Amino acid sequence: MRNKVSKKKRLVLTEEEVFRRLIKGDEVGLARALSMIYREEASSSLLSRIYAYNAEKKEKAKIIGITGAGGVGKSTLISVLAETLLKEDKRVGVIAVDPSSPKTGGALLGDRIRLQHLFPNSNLFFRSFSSRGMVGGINPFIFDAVSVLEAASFDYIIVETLGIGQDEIDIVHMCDLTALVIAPGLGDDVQFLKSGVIELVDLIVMNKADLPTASKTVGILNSYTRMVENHPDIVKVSASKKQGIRELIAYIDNKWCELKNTGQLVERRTTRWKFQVGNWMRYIVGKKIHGFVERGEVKPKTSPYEIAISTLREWGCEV
Amino acid sequence: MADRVVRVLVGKPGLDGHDRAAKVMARALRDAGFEVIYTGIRQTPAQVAQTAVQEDVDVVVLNNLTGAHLEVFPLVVEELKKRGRDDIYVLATGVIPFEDVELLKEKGIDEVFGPGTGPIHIINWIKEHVLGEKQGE
Repeated sequence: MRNKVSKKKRLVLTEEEVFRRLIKGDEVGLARALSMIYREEASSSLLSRIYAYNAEKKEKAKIIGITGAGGVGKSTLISVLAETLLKEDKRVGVIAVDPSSPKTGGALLGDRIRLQHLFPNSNLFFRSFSSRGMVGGINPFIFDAVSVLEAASFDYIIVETLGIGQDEIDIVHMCDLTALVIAPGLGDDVQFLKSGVIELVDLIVMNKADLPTASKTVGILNSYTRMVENHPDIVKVSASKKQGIRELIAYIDNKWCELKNTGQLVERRTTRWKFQVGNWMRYIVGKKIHGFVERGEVKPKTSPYEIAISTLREWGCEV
Repeated sequence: MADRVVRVLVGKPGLDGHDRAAKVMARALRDAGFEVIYTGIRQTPAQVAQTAVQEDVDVVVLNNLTGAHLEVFPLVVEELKKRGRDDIYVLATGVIPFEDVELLKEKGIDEVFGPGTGPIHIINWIKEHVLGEKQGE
């Protein structure tokens, strides 16, 4: 092939431009802010500005977490939620996290497919992120990404995470309220017994409720949630048949207003902020540890614990 | 700073349900270490362009196997321009006859990968143009 193609110069925006454009809800600015944060190209002052801006804002976005095992219909549910909210002239932002390859760092991000039919639409913004191999479902970048969307004045921010619903509980620290999506016939009753997520989520969405086995699963679930103090309600929907969606939105709205009126929303957001401080500390120290381990000398006669403690003390940690 | 991860959109504009090639390509690009966003089938040019803007990709790889490439691919270029992102590379893939290559390039497509080219050619092109890594023959 002929070498006629000249290289394109990638659009460059200053942090000032990015900030000004994103608070107006401009997609190019918003998308770039998210890229800068994810690539660790943003200065801490950009983020500080965003946090300060959000703190002053009167209208808060409803930040809704959606988690659950693969195949329960999270993406389809988000698609019909977004469709319904858009009809009510709401602005909806969605963040979806898919796993990245542990080998190459590459990722195939396919969560958009379910709601591509809603585009083009200036009230809908969707951004796909790779998990970057971080366990616990959420990394600090996703957390800050939610704050960026908040600054862009969405009415609803929906966060979808991969997760089998056992350990991936960080999402509840990131959102105002979190829904666990389940489907009939997935896992036996011991799965529910083991799971810690039921204690933490605000509601359980029983998807595919039109299937005949749904009532059995709801029965099993009920018997376990009753054992949990302040147990979450179960809302039945069928995302693919678009049944129960308005009721689900009404439930979410009521719950959110209840949190707001009782002061729990402020409390949760304070916890969220603190949690994110911890997230960043873990990430930064984790990177340092990773580097140390990679280049560290191997002394098979010394216990690994000994090396760990003495190194951390060398770094000035009081351990 | 983290390693620069290239983001690529694999889009299928036009009424074409043949997605095997697009899926194989998406997987190959993922294995090359890129973050790949796949739109799914039967997209309008505006849907592909808005997705590219929101995902802030470096490259859009278009695929169509129905012969509609001369119609729909340039429309994606136009839609990107309308949204202020004509800096994003647009590549054309699929069953594209040789005589259409120049026509597509005249309409703003940066490179054409027709029959006989494999994912590796696309991967190398992207590494060279986005990361500035010269690839050996």
